[in-house]
Amino acid sequence: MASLIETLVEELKAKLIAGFRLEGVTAATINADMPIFGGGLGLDSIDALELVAILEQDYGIVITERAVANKAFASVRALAEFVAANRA
Amino acid sequence: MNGEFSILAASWLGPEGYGNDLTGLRDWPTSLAEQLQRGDLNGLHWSLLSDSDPSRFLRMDLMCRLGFMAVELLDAGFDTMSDVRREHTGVCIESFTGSLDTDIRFALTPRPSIFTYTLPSTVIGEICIRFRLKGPVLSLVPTAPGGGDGPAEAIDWLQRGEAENVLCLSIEAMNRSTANSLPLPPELSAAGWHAAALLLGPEENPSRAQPLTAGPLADIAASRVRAPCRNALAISNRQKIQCG
Repeated sequence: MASLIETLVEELKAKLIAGFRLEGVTAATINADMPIFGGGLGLDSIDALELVAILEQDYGIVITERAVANKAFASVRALAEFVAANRA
Repeated sequence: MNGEFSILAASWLGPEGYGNDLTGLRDWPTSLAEQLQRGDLNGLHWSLLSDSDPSRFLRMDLMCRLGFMAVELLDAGFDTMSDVRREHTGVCIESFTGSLDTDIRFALTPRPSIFTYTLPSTVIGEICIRFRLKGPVLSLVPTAPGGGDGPAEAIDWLQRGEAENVLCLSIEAMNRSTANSLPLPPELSAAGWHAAALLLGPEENPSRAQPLTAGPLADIAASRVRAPCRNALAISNRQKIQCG
């Protein structure tokens, strides 16, 4: 399970960088335990919508409740755990 | 057009080059020039013009990128402008093609990050945020590429005292590949691309200010850039306009 989570962490980092066109950001510079939003990545509410779309399109996960999103988006690692537990 | 108000700065980006009324028209880097000539605009990047933070640039749509670059290229000193003056600086944008390039991309790939830019007025918001401008704003859709009433509207604001300065932009932003992806009316698919900017206001720097003449905004800006100020002082070191 641990290796699956680490694989997902790296996969999600790559999706964040490509999906949000984060210039000058590499997977190594993203701390998997830091908040995705409100942190150093400069992401905003539109990016939150984009992330919801990525989860739906790439993993078949539909998020409809804010509380669920808040927990899942707490960090890249939290997101990886959420994806591992909920993907189709 | 109006003796009271002048062109304080002008900039132009188009297939043939880019520059402002101080620098004159500069060539694009050779590797990029060919792409731009055939209407492939994906290689346009903030770093061509400035060393300043480009963090949002790649996330913007093409219209916002061009508008952003045109304003940066003006070298109008927004960074050192007083808060009071920025609060009275308006922005007027005219665009025949508007957000069509982005609209088509959104139709092909419906994503939230693309949807954000499916309005031609979004570029005004991006410019106002970056340069902290708080005056009146207006987005116009002229009936032909490069033509519009932007300067006339700006003069009206200036005469009424609604703004002390007005930033006028003309932007046409159609990537050739996007235009070719759908059957468009000929006037749209042939609109090409450019971004032109004029900063209008009372004359304050005789070495740079020039009279505002009648005509389409894009033509006025392009002519100012092709005939740069002879008496202009040294170009700001902040600008990277050096490739040729």
